Amino acid sequence: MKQFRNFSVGVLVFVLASLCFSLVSAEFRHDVTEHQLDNGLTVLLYENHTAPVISYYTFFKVGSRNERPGITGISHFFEHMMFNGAEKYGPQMFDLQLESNGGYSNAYTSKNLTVYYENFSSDILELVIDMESDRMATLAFEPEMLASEIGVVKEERRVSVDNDNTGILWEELFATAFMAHSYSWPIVGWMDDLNSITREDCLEYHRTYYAPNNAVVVISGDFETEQAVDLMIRYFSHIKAGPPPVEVVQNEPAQRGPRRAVIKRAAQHPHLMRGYHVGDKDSEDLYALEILQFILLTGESCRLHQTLVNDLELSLGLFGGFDWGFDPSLFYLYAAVSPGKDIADVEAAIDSVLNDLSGFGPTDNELQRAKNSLTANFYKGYKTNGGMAHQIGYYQTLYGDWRKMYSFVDNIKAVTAEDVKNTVIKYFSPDAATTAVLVPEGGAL
Amino acid sequence: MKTTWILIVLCCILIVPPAAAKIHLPQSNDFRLDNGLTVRVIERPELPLFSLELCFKAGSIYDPEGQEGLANLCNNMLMRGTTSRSARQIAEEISFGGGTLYNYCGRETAGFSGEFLSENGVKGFQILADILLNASFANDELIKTRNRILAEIESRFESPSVIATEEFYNQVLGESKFAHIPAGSVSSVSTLTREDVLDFFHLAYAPDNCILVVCGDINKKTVREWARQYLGSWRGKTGLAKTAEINRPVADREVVILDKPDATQTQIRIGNIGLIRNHPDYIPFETARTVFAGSFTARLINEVRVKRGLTYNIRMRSPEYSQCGLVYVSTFTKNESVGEVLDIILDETERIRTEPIPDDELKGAINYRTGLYPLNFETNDDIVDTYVNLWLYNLDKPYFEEFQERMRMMTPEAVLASTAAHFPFKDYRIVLVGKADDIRSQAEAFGTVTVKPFVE
Repeated sequence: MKQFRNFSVGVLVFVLASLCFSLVSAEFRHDVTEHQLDNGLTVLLYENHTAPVISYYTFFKVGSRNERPGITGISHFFEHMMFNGAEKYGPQMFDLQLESNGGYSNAYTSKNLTVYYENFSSDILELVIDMESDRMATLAFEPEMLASEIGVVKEERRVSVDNDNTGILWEELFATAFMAHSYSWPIVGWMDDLNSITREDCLEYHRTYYAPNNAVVVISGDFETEQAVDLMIRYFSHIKAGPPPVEVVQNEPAQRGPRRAVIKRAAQHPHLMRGYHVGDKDSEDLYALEILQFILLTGESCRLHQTLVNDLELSLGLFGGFDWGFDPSLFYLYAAVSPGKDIADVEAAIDSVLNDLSGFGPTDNELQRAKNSLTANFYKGYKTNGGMAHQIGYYQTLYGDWRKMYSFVDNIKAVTAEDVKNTVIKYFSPDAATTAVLVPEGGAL
Repeated sequence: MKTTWILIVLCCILIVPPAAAKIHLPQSNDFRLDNGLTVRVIERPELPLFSLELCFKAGSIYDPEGQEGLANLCNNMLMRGTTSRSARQIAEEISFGGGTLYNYCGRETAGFSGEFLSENGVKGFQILADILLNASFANDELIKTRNRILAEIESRFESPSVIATEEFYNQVLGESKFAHIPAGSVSSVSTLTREDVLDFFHLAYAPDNCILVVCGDINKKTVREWARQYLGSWRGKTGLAKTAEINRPVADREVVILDKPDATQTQIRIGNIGLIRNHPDYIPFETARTVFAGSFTARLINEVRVKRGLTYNIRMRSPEYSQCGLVYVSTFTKNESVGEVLDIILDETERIRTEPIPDDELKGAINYRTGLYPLNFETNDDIVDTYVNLWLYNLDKPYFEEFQERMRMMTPEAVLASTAAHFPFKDYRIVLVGKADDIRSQAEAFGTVTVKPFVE
């Protein structure tokens, strides 16, 4: 995930008009103001007065990788609890205040990050800052709200994992590919762990990971920077810094051979997932992997679609990708195996596509197609206020410097066919594969 | 995720007019080619991109009896190669320029939509014209495409949610042309031939049966030149018969359980016939729907999710078509809570049907809807979609431009009149997809229960 925008229209027009093609990314710059409070809270502000609206993003450097066995799912559970009341604004008040003023909020949790955002008209910036401060400083964990919200999360797990064949296979793939690292468990958490999370666990988690020194706030839109900084100081300075989070140990041992997991379950057709360990966010192969992801998985012209769906008619559809993680991640492929087709044939076809790439690399045309489309998508993503805020915050939280977002296009452009070929050789050998398959059991669901 | 809305919002948080600002749709420049093709161009030069949609009244309601799925197969075949380009070449040429072009087929419409960089935009017109004028409908591609669609029809049973909604359509709409899914059924699609597809193509894909809307960094002159150059020689007259539907509600209470013995959670749909697209009660109905189950602070969210933790998501949905509509509550819960959730839905329905919405609650809902309303018109795609709907449903610009103003005028009394008329839960159909052994006894309190296997 990487994209987003905002800035003066003139700059964007220039950038996009030169796209794909002859892009001079040095021209792609924004006037972002940086401010750090004494408690460690990083605040990034980007003024855009095109319209009287604001996007407010808060990034917490915490995801499911920061959990431990017994409380898996607590990061995602926090994403829910943050809307269930604090000292000044009680249960439902956050949404009530925002919605009744024509605003909107939501959030997401990944293995690496938890991100909250609001979009609202510029006249209620102070209200939003006040509410965000309130829940960072004094989030309440009322027992009845904890119990009710755990019920909500369990329903979320039931609908997205326990009663969803793709979701359950995804869980199995990561649990098989990772033996030691916390990337092994699902973001939503194991069901039994959801039953075990205590109020004390929540208080400790909040104190550590929802402290200002573990957060980045990005405000993008129609405001005056000086005024917004004053508001941030007024509402956030009193919040104490938290203890430094415990570093997540990169303890995953090297994979020494192919791994396989099989789920037998009611299904209309088989499902297949493959995973290959790749590097982290600082990997030298990051951008070659982005290109490879496009060549293998994006659009009807990609290799796996052409081979599996179009030519051999083995699959109904595909998706896949990899995270830019703090720790070495997993590049995964998913194929919905057509009813009546053999999983082994799908695996052989995937191996054949990878073999071809490791032997000959991509063609000039598909390499250029990948670069053009990734570059176009990168800039298209900058069309929105929220996108701009997300991009700034994402890079700041991941790399400690939002400016790194400017290197994306140049890094994509620099990838050669040889780089892609070598990346396939390096990461995608048969011995490095983890395969998870779901085999239909008993015919009817 | 807090809710499934996240994806929508991530994609479209943007530069919007002020929350209270009135919407002004950008002016379109319209012209018609000699062959009858209507073209609308909306110039928005801020970004060097444009979006287009070529929309035909050629969706699945035009499927002949016994040939359900024909409209969809025909639409799919149009992307499967021309006399000069293979399907793969079409995909590669579009993506090389950083563009996109998708085909679609719904109940009422079918067509193509895409986004292109302005400087490569001519490619979009060239390929669109090639598809319409020179589609090859090759037999081997037809067999492949038909097989893929058949497999997709079977794979729907991977999703209890999808099947629950489809069954609800069947239960409420019965024999209506709107009842069946665009993909058709295994039995109907299996019989479709190349001749069937060609016949449908000639009847449906004619210049007088569609609209081309283009919006973005492209001017009327360029569009006119490209349209004339590439689509000017396109000929044909539509021969599709118009459908006539009666929007008649069900008048009793029935519960259909699709038995899925391995399910630990039950999908729930409850509702009846709803409003057609341009119904005069649309504004009060939408106001009530927002209060009832249309936002994070809505009544059903509060009662079912926040207070009791019984679901992750509960919404009232109201798909509206030109000749019929549906209104229903969609949610899911663990098997043992099905009766409790249905009770809450019906209790809350009774409340909103009989008690005026308190002023503060009504004002909050109106502010929410009117404040976010500009998000519907932000991108080029949004504008294209709006103009397609103007054409499809015979709407006028004030329908959109006066939405906020009309909603702000809503009174508790006006909304109450709407809920009494259009919250159809006195009589209803309930569809439950779950483990029958666990939910049958709970369901019996809500109507006559029929249990069917999940997969027929």
